[in-house]
Amino acid sequence: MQRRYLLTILLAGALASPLAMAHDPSKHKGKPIKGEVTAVGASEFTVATAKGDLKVTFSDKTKFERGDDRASAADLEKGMQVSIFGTVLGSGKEVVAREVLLAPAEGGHHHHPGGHMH
Amino acid sequence: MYRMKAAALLGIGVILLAAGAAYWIVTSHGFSARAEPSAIEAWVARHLRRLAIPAEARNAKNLLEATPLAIAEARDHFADHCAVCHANDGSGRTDINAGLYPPAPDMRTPVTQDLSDGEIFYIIKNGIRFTGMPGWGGEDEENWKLVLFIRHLPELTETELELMQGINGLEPPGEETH
Repeated sequence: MQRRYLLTILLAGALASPLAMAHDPSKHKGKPIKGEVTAVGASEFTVATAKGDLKVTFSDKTKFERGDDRASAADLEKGMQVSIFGTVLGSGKEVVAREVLLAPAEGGHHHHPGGHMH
Repeated sequence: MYRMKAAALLGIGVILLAAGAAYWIVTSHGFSARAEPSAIEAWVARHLRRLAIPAEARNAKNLLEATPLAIAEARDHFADHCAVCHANDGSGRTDINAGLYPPAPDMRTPVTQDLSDGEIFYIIKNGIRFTGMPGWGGEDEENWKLVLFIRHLPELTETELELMQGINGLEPPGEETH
């Protein structure tokens, strides 16, 4: 009986830990660059940041997320607030995005029950 | 016969003299890692290191292209893992390096820049015995990118240094670090 209890606790812990980690900002590698989208192109967009305008390039390897949901480059809109994780090139004016977090859409926050991992 | 005996005695004398000198150096100078290695010691160590790197590894070529992204990725990697000893600019002017024996060299100078790509790669991957340089292992591609960045160190810009400081918070060399 005790063994079954222990097994249940361990199983619950194993299942709960990915949920607890879902969308924990610390799971994103590095510090994000935050700004407002000012222009959107096919494989790049521009954001206005506190330090000036920054060109952001993305590829099919770039992950887009909105809240706890997956998103895509097609969801990018002018005026949207974004956080970008990626590699800033030596010029300091361009970043190759690894992950782009879009500000949650107004009027509700859709939550996937399973969450996701980074 | 007499000559052989004289040569043997001379050999023993030289060995005893060298042992005595080594004993005197150790007992009179101590074992501080903060001391500066002598020029002879540094020369011998560098040549031994060169001999210890297999020829195949020494001649290995870096097949990666030095693109802005590859250099930037390696720059962030360097800032995260290497700069604590080597400094963001590769000068080696850090608190930790000041206490290493031998200290890591200024990687912008010929001491490092004259090494082959293969030698730099080998050192990153395998480290150097009896120094503070660990063998990082790691993925070959990441290590070759680091080789690209080490080659780029002499041309590092202020913007790049600021980006690195944003990652590790290290003060630029020469400024107060306490």
